[in-house]
Amino acid sequence: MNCRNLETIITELARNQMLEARVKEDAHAHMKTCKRCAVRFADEQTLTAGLRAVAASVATMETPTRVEAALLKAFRQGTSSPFVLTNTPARPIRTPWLPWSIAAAAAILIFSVFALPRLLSDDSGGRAVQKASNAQPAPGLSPTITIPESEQDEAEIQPLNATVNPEDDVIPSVPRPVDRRRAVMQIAGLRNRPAQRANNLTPTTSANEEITTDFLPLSYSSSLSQMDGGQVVRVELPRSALQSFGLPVNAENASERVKADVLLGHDGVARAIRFVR
Amino acid sequence: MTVLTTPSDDELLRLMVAGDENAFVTLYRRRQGGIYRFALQMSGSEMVAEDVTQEVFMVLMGEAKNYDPAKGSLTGYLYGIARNHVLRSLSRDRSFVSIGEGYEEDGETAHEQLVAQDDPLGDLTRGEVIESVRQAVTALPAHYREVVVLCDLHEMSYAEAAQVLNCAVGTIRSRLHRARALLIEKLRATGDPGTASSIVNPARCFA
Repeated sequence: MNCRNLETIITELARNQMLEARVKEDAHAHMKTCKRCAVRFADEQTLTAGLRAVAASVATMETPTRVEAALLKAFRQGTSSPFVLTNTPARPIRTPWLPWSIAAAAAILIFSVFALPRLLSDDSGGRAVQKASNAQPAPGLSPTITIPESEQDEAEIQPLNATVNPEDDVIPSVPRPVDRRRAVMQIAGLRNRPAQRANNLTPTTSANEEITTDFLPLSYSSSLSQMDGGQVVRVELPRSALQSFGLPVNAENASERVKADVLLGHDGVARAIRFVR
Repeated sequence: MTVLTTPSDDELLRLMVAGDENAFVTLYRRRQGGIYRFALQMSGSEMVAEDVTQEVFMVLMGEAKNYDPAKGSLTGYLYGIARNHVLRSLSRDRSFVSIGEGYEEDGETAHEQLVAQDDPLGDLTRGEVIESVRQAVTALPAHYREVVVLCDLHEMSYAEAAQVLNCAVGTIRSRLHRARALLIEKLRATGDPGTASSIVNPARCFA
């Protein structure tokens, strides 16, 4: 064996790996005659000892118990919903996907602030109010209506929530983007409150003594009873819009404004409308 | 007579997928230490090691069905996940990688301050020398560091390391050889260049 041959096995030799007995004997025989290879082998052996000392120094180190607790919590959440984990952050601060989550949340927020108001104003405010069928259609009403374009532009969106003040009759006639933005944010908050949403869908007199009509369907496309949720937004329309739904309108006050609640599906399309007094 | 049998990793995983919480805990407690230490030795950061360990088992919970026993052991699979997360973490946080960037392929070193000023190989039982070796390992380029960590610190066979790193056994062997040469050179570099150079140029003698 020469130095080159020894070099090819010196790592395994120093790490006490499996080698043929004859190869080991040849290697040791070579090192007896070659000081340089003997030093090289001694270095390898010393390094092996050093690495083992390093390994031993951390042999008892383990993951902190809080990680097990967090994982166990995630496991229980996962098993409660047929073992499909949703990458729930056990320790959200340092999870690598956190920046992406923040970016996604920011994108949703930006969309809600800028794009959704435009969609709402286009769809429910009334530009293309295409629209729906109802499980409880009002007798004698045409289920398909189109609000005149001149009236649609005047529609003002207001959020409907538990704090609606019926005395607040002063509604700006000019649409204010800030109000719409606020409305959208409040609507978004309603999405996580199904109980309140269900109450909003009930076409009865509200707790604040508002008198409302039943929800009138805006198209045949779907039944209100089949909706799995949605948002109700308060809008203001010219009283003449009542005519489109077959409701009586006094010509003298046709130019006055009337409040209405528009029921939006999750896709943002208006499904039904009810009028509020 | 009662025969006590220890369930295998694969059996525990099967039970875990079926929703057995005890199986998950058993599997976690059996494997978390190795994963944690591997991530710690690769990154040099307890915080990263903790995160990586957590991520490994989160991935296992979510994608356990991706594990194929025919391709290797569950341990290797977990180490492979850990390795990917460590490398991702290192690429995000250059503060750990910057140390290793001092090493070049030709063995030159740029972080002499990491090596103890006395003869480190003379007495490796001392704590500060152990720390020097640890730092030298941490300073290795990642592809060398991982083979040293797996084969020397975790005593994996070449085949097991090859499964973790998804490469050939021969690659593991040659990388380990080179990595150890770099470590020796690093640890002997101070004050004795002649000895160091003799180590990295072994083919001068053909006795």
